[in-house]
Amino acid sequence: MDKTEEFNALVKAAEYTGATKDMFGGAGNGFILVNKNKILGLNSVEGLEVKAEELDNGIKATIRVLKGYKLEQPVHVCFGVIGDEGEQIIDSEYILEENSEAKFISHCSFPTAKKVIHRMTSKVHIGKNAKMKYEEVHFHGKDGGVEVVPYTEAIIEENGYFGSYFKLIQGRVGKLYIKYTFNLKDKAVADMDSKIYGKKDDIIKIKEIINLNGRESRGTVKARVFASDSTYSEVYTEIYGNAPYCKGHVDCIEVVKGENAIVSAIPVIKVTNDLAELTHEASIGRVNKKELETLMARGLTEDEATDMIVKGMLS
Amino acid sequence: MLFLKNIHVYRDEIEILQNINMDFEKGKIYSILGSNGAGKSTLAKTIIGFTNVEKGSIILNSKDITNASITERAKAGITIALQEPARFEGITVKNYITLGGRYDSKDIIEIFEMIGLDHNKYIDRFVDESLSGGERKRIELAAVLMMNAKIVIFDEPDSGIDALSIPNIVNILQYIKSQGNIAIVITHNENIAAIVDYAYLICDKTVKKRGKSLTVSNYFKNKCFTCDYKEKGVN
Repeated sequence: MDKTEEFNALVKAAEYTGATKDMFGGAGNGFILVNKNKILGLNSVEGLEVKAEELDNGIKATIRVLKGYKLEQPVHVCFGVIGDEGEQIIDSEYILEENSEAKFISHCSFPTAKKVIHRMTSKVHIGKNAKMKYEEVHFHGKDGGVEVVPYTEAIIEENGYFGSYFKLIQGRVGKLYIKYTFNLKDKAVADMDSKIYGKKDDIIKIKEIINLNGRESRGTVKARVFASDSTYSEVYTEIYGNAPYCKGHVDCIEVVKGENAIVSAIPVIKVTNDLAELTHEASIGRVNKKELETLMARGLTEDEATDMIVKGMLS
Repeated sequence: MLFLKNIHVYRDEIEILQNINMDFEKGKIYSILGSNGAGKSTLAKTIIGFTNVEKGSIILNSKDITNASITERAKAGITIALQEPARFEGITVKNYITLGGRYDSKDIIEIFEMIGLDHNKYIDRFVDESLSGGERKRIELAAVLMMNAKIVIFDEPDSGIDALSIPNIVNILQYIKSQGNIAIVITHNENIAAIVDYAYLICDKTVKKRGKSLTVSNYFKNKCFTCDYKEKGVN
C-alpha cells in the first residue's frame, strides 16, 4: 500500500468518527494524520505549531498553540492502524501558551484490528488563562482485536480550562486501559467525560484522577459505560481537594445488560483542606426502572426503551 | 370502557389496595382522592402496569388486560404522567414527546401553548437534570398529550414548585375530555374538583366513597382531615 492509499484508507475509517477528507488537507485547519508509525499528513496554521517525527513503532509529536492565539477551527488529530496487526506508540505533548484557545478532535481508527496495540502517552500543559478542549472519538472493528492504552497527565495553570472527552461506542472496545491525571492550579477548571459501549468479552478499565491543588479550582469526572454480554468494566475515579474553596464532583453510571457482564465503580473523594468541597454519585446495574417504565408507558417495548436510554446516555 | 374489578395489590406481602372496584367511561374526567399513603399512586401504577395485581381484574374495552405488559397497555391507549417524572440523558424534548404518537409540528405548537412553554426554547433541550422540576412536569404533560391516549392518568399534576398553573391543568383535562378520552387525575385541588365528573375517595386501602366530584371532595375536606388528625393523636 503506497502513502496515498494509506491516507485514503485511514481517512475513510476516520469517517466513522465524524471526520471528512477536507479536514486533512482542504479546510485550512491544523492536522496530523498517522498510520502506525508513518506520518501521512501534517499541517500547522497561524498560531499553531505541529511538529512530529517517526519512530520505529510510532511517532513523537509536539503540538503548541502560541500565546494569545485563539484557533477558530478545530485541530484534527488522526491516529490509526490500517491492517490486522501492529503496534502504534504515540508520544505526544500538547502545550497551550498563555491566553490561547484551541479545540482538538482526535479520530482514532482501527477498523480491521485483530492484534493491534495503540499506546498513547500525552503530556498536556494549559497555560494561564488558556482553554483547551480535547475530544477523542474511536472507531474499532468488529473483532475486538485492539488494545488501547491512553495515558494523559495534564497541568492546568491559573484560570486555565481543560475539557477532555473520550468516546468509544462504535465497534468492539477490545481492551481499554485509560489513565488520566489532571493537576489544577488556582481557579483552574477541568472536565473529564468518557462514554464507552462494551460488547462480548471487552475489557474496560478506567482510572481518572483530578488533583484540585489550586484555590477555587474546580473539576468534574463523568463516566458512562454500557456493559453488554460478557463485558468487564472497572471505573476508578478520584478527586482530591487540596486547596481552599476548590470544588469537585464525580458522576459515574454503568449500565449492565448481560448475564456474564461484570461492572464496578470505585469513586474516591479525599479532602486535605477543610475549605474544600467534594461530592460524588454513582449508579451501577440494570437500566433505571423508572426510566424504562416511563418509556414503556409511551408504547416502547422493553428492548426499544433500553436501547433508547443507552443511546441517550452515550450520545 | 375501563373497569377495575375486585383489585387487590400487595407490596412486600403487605396489602396496599383491597377490593378496589372502579369504572371509567369515555369522555369524562375522574379524580382520585385520599390522604397521604392511602394508595392513590399505587392505584395509578396498577392501571398502567408498573405494579402487579395480586387478585382481581382490569378490563379495557371488554378485554382483560390484567396481565398485559406496560407496553401493551400503552399501545391499547393507557398512559401516565408521573408526579416526579424520570429524566433522560441525551434524549431531546422533541424525541421524547413524539415517542408515542403525533409528529406534526402544528400539534407540538398547540400542546406547548397548553403547557405554558415556548416550544422554540424547549424542543431541542434534553429531558435531563438541566430542566427544573416544574419544566420537567410540563414536558411530561406534553408527552402524554402528544400520545392522544384514550386514558391519561395524571399523578398530582399540580404538586411542587413551578408546577403548571391550575387554569392550565383544567384546560388540559377539558381538552382530553373534548377528544372523547378519559382523564384520571390524582389531586385534592378544589378548582380541579369543580370540573371533574366523578370522584373516588380511597381510604384504608379501599374505595371509601364514590360519586359526584364536589360531594366526594367536600366529604374528603370535612371528614378525612379530621380523621387524619385523630390518627396522629392531635385534638
